[in-house]
Amino acid sequence: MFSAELKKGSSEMLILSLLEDEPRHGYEIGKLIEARSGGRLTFALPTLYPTLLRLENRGWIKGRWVDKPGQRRRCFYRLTPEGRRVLTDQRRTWEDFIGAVNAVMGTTHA
Amino acid sequence: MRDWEQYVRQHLTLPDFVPPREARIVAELASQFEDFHRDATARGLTDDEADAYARAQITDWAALADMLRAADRPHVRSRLDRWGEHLADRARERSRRVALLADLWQDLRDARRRLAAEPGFAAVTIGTLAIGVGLCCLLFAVLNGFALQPLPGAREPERLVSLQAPVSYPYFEAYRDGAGTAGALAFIGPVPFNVSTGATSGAGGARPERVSGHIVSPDYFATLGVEPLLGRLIGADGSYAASDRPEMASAVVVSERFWRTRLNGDPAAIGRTLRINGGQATVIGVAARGFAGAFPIGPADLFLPVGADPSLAPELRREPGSEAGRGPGGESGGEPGGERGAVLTRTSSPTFRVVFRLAQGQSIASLREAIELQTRALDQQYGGTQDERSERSKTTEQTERDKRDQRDERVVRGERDAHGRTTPVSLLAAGGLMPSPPSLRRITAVFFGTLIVLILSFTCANLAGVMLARGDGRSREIAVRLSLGAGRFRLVRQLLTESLLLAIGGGAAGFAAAYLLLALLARSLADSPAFSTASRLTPDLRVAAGTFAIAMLAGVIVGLAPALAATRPDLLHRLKDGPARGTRHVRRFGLRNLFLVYQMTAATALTVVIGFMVGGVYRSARADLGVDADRAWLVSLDLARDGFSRDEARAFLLALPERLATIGGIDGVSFTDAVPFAATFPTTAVAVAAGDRREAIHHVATQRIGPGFAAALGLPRPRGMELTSDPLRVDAADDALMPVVINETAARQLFGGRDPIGGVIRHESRRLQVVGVARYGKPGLFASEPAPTLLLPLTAADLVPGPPDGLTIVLHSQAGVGLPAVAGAIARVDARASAFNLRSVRQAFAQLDRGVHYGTALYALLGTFAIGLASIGLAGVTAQAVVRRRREIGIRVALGAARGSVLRLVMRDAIVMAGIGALLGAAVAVGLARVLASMNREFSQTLAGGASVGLPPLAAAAPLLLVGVALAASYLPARRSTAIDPLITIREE
Repeated sequence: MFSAELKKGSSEMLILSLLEDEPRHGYEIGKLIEARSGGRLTFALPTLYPTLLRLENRGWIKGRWVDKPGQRRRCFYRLTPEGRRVLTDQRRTWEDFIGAVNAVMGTTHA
Repeated sequence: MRDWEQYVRQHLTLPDFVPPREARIVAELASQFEDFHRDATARGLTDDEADAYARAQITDWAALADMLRAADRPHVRSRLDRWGEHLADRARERSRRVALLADLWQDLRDARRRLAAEPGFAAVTIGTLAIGVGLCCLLFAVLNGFALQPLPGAREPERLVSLQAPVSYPYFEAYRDGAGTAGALAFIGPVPFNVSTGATSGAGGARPERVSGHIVSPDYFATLGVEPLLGRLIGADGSYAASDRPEMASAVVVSERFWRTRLNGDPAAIGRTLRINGGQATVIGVAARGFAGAFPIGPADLFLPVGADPSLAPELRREPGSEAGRGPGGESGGEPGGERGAVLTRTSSPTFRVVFRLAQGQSIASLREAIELQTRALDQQYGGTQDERSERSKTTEQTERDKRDQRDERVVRGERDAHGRTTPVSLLAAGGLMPSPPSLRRITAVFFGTLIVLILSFTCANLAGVMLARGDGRSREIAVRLSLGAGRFRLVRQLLTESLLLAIGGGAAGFAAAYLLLALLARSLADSPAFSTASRLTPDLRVAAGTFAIAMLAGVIVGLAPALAATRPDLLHRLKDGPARGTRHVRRFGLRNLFLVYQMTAATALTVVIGFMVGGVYRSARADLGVDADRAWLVSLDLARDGFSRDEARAFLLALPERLATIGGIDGVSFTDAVPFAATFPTTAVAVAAGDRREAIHHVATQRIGPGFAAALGLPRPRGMELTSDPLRVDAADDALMPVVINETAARQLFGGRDPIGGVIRHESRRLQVVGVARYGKPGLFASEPAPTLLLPLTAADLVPGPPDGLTIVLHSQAGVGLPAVAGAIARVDARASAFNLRSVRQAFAQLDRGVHYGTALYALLGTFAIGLASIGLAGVTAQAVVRRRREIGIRVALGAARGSVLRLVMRDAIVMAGIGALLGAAVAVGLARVLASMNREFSQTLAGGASVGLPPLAAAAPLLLVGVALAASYLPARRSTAIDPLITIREE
């Protein structure tokens, strides 16, 4: 498993990237992170939800209540244009960082 | 499945979040819990397992709250924000209140409009309230002016306590030094002084005026805590004894009132010389404003130290008539300038009133104990005279008599009663206008309070009835408004506003009337120097506030019950029926009607009593006294205070008639020690032989007269003879028979059927022989004949110190008499003598009767109140009957009922009640008269006297009058019933 610091630093980026294609609600985001990481990354509710609020307060994502027939009312978050810019920046930074780390560690691209 | 939102709310508290944000967070968390739960059940967990799984997602709620706060700062309110929001809330509340005020304003305008549309109702209500509130205000003002007023000018008056019985100066000194109080004072007074201020102004012939004052111990002002307005006060430097400080022998302190009115407020008044009772005194100070002595109910304007020169006050001389003064060379006892300070060592006569200032933490009970202890010791020390007395009383032959007779017997023998030394010490609170037992103030307050509550309840119950009747009439209007959605609270408020408006009007009118009355009363009392508290009678702020509170209370009481009743939410019923009928028929003997009967009873009884009083006053004023009221004149002299010794006074009086006779028109001169026909002669006990060697004790009034008394007053000659022998001229031996003239009442009471002429009466160690029987005396208020009176010859001993109001010279003149002529003639006999208060006998009577007239006026006021209220109550009953039976009347009229029979129908209740009340009232009045008769001798004589007093005719006439008034009162509203149009009332169905 990864340390808390590592997770915390990446959680914002993960959430933003999950919202890149479509709006999702909080529970879905948690489940997706867990599923895509193959269970290696999990964000408990007390961690995930405050992060959503923080991102929203920064104006990177925006929550909207949606009523779907047969389902309970949920808050769906989507990426704002600014959030999209931030995600692009973060992704580039992340790739640079990974590239640099790989170069140093002497591993080749798979 | 559980309600997740509630679950979250139970665990997560976010008071500092803005409420919408908090709601969103809760909702979102709840939706996620639900997702966890649904997924778990989808995975095959049971509901309970799923629930536990979902709940396990969040365990540390407090940590979550902290994280939320950290993540969501923009939506967390700072402390300042929260305060600001609180303020905003309050502002909103206030704006609601502003709206309320606007509503109130609207209510007021409505109420005014409605009242203006019903001027009769408004007038009756305001009038009744004015009478009720005015009476309460009067009572409150009197209570405030007398009982609640603290001693003016004094510091911490609540700590002042006075001895009920006067004591002698040595006793006072012992108390002062040994009772452990914070101070003590003694004074003689109030005593009259003949004062002239003209000594320095040289205005010439400035007539002396009689001024009331106190002769005070040095600690007088210090004990009371009175400050000087000017100069210094007696004893201000702690030393006083006249022997140490000669200048104190002629020092005098005056009141602020005296300084203002008699010394013209002269700032340089200190050091001025006053002529007082023939001596001279220097003004050393002016006391604080408002200070009128220790017992201001009898105000004092001059304060003389006890160490003053005896020429300044006869009270400071050795007491004439006492054992000391009567001894060998006793005649010198009356000499002016007798030994100074004699009064300070004399124990034989208790003339000093004593006031203590309680020490911090000292109780009245402990003070009483200390004084009783000391009194016992003092009685032993000074007990000589008392032992002598008991010896003498043992030697007298005494049969089996009860205690009262023994006391009377002592008085008959001319012994004074013991000095109150042996009686238990009684202490009074002295911090008010008059000394009173500590409980009295409370009782007085309770008494007045009860009276006010009674009057208020009368007024309110009555008006509530009227309002109820009116509410009935308006019930349809109110029902319509209720059905249109008006709130009950709003309607009640509106009706209340109306009654409060009425209360304000009535209260203001009542207060104005009371103020006027009190101002008039105060003004008519102000010219009497004995009444310094008159100005306080006019209502002050406290009374005004109290009156306002009373009026408002009346308004709420009067308005609330009818308002609640009128807005009772049985809408449908009333919309259909209009004013209640049938189902809500007023029981004939319901509480309200009982109350009305009671009112009628009280009003009738009161009217009878008032008629009785007024009749008494009228009769007493009209009584033929056989006196030449317009030709007989009275003028006062106070020889002792003008500095005469007893011998000089005797010589003066012997020379006076001749000199006065030189004034044109005067054809009769005499003198007496009391104002003729005054009701306040001292009564005393006398003994008359009643056969079988036994004596009967009688209580009689005594008056001392000079020769020619009957002639000077223009009275018919007494049967037998007038007093002619002049004891002023001849010193009669102590055991000689003294002539006496008695009045007819005394002749009958003392001698029964026997001829009184020549009869012997024992009085004050002397034997009196009846020489004549005169028609003399004035019947009292209720009495059909004058009190038994003895007319004794005036002796030299009666001249100095003389009666407190001075000697009265009686002049008979065919023409009028002027004071300058009389004063001039008197001054030619002796320049020191100053005449004052010249008036005709008729004027003197008017003065004497004044108090009675006030009493009568007060009763008349109460009677008006009672009758007025009863009438209004009956009018209200009738008005209600008209409203209630509207439809019935309509039908009757439609069927051809005559006007008269309709009137009878609606007035029947009122008439029945008035009749019952009037009969009961008459019975109560007669019963009351009997009770009074058993308590009051004069009254019982009157009743026995029968028809002349007029109780029976009154008892018959008053109920008739009341029933008449009741008929008139109920006729006014009843008239409205005849105006009922059957078409309209029947269509209302």
